[in-house]
Amino acid sequence: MEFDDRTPIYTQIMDLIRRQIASGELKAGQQLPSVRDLAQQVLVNPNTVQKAYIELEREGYVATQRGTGTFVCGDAGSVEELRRRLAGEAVHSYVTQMRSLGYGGEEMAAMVLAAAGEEQ
Amino acid sequence: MSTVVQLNDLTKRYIMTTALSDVTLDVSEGHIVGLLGPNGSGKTTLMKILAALVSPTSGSVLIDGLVPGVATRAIVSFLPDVNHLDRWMTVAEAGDFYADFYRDFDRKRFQELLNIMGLSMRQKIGSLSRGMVEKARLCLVFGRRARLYILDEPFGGLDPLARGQVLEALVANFRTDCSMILSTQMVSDVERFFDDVIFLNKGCVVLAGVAENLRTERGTSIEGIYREVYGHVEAR
Amino acid sequence: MWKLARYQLRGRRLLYTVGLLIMAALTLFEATEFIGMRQDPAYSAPVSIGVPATMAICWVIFYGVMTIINIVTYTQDLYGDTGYLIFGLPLRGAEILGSRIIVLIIDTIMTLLGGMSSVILLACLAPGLGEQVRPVVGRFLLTGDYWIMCLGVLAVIVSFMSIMFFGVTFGKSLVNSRKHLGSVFSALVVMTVLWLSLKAGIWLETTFAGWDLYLDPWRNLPSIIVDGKGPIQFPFLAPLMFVGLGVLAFVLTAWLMDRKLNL
Repeated sequence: MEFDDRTPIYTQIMDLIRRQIASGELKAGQQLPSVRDLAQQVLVNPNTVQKAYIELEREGYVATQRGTGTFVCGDAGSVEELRRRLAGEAVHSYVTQMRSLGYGGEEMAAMVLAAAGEEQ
Repeated sequence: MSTVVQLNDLTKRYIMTTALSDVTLDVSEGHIVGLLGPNGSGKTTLMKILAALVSPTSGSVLIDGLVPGVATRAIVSFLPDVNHLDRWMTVAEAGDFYADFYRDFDRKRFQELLNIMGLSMRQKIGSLSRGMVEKARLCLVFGRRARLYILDEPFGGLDPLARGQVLEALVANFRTDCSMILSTQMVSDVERFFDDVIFLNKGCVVLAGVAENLRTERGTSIEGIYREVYGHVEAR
Repeated sequence: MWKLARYQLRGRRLLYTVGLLIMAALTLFEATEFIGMRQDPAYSAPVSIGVPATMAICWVIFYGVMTIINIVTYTQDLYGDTGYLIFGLPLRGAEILGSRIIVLIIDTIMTLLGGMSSVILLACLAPGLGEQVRPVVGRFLLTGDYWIMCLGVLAVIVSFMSIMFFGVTFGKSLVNSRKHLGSVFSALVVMTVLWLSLKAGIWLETTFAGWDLYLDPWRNLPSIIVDGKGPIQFPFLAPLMFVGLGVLAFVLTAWLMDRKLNL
């Protein structure tokens, strides 16, 4: 896992887990890896992973059950909401970058369609 | 959360030089602290004082509430920046030595660590390459279930692959009831493991704080901050 | 302390093996002097007494080398990298010093036993020598004076070591990071202490000259060794004072190691 050391690591771990929830890689009710396991996996300080889990819990994405572990919360509706939000963020950053290069809305849309078609 | 290390106005003077002046800092339980600074900034002296190998000139040092001495050496696991093992020893004999003198030494853990690092018990210290000696020393230091680990340049003689192994072992063996202080020149490789960082220059603390907060405040990596801090100091 | 002494002995196993092999070879070499003498005890006597004397000198050299190595390895620990291992142990300074003195005592015992077995071996080979050695072994070694003298000599050697350790440790804890300065300084300290103790010893000897403060263990020796020079006396006061200095050096060194270490 590559991190950008210029921004806090725990927010990057939070992003990673949110993305996995949105994509369905982590399903509601599924257990997250233990703090130590994830820390070992991505090679960061366990306390950083702990902090990411606590923040995710505060935001309501996961819940920690004492003694058993941390689980993904929510239902299909909230996952869909998260998915839309992340998609919105991605679109926003794409649009901002394209605008700075001087592209208009229609051009952007055409390019997106063409790129998506190529990938298929 | 309790405090493992408490330093208050710690000063160390030698006849001609001042190695540390008025260092005040705390290390919390369960934290990994990066001690950063250029050569000669006092990192090694600070670590030796914590390992009860150098006596401070003034100020107070408490490790788990104890003044450095025989009692703290039993709970502090120190990795010096040079090979401290006798060359005639085999890896197994070095393990026996640690087991004989440190009650917190766990032979099983030592064996597991050796396996991770790819070392065998029968090898003689004198016949090992520099990187292998470094690994063997790390196995000994982490073989102890210490309260405080002090690692002076633990990645000095290691290639990138071995560095990865060591970091893995470090995370796998880190417990919430201990603390770790480590100094390194390879800031970018290790900065993800720091809870807190302390920047030393000419024996003074020039910047200290929580790593994640510093990244947010300054919008750059710890290595970037390192460049800022010491670039600035050198320019002045 | 015992555990540390055991490790130091283990570290010197090669040294001991080589040293003892050399001594055994020397004994056998000396034994060749006796070839062909077996038939004539009267002729062999004057020649044979020189042989154990040579052997004794060799054993003293062996002992000296071991003692010097003891001090040198301590200095290396203090000034070198292995110090982090030894002085980082949860042991008091007195225990670390104690382990060194245990090693010294073991060296002493090894030398005495080795020396005796050399002489016994030579005595077995030369009948004339056997005759001369027998009364010494029989009478002389059993006298209390002899054993007090042995203990006295050991105490003086231990004190000498303590003073050396003190000098080295004092030099190191006072001037850090300047290795050469530290060792020069420690040599100065040792020389000063030894000179002072010599002066004080002479002063004591002259002050208490009228008092009978001597042991004379050689009174019981057969005349061939004493050889008409009259009984050799073994002084009591100066060594006693030197041992006192040694104890002081030990206490100070232990204190320095516990409180003022500068590795």
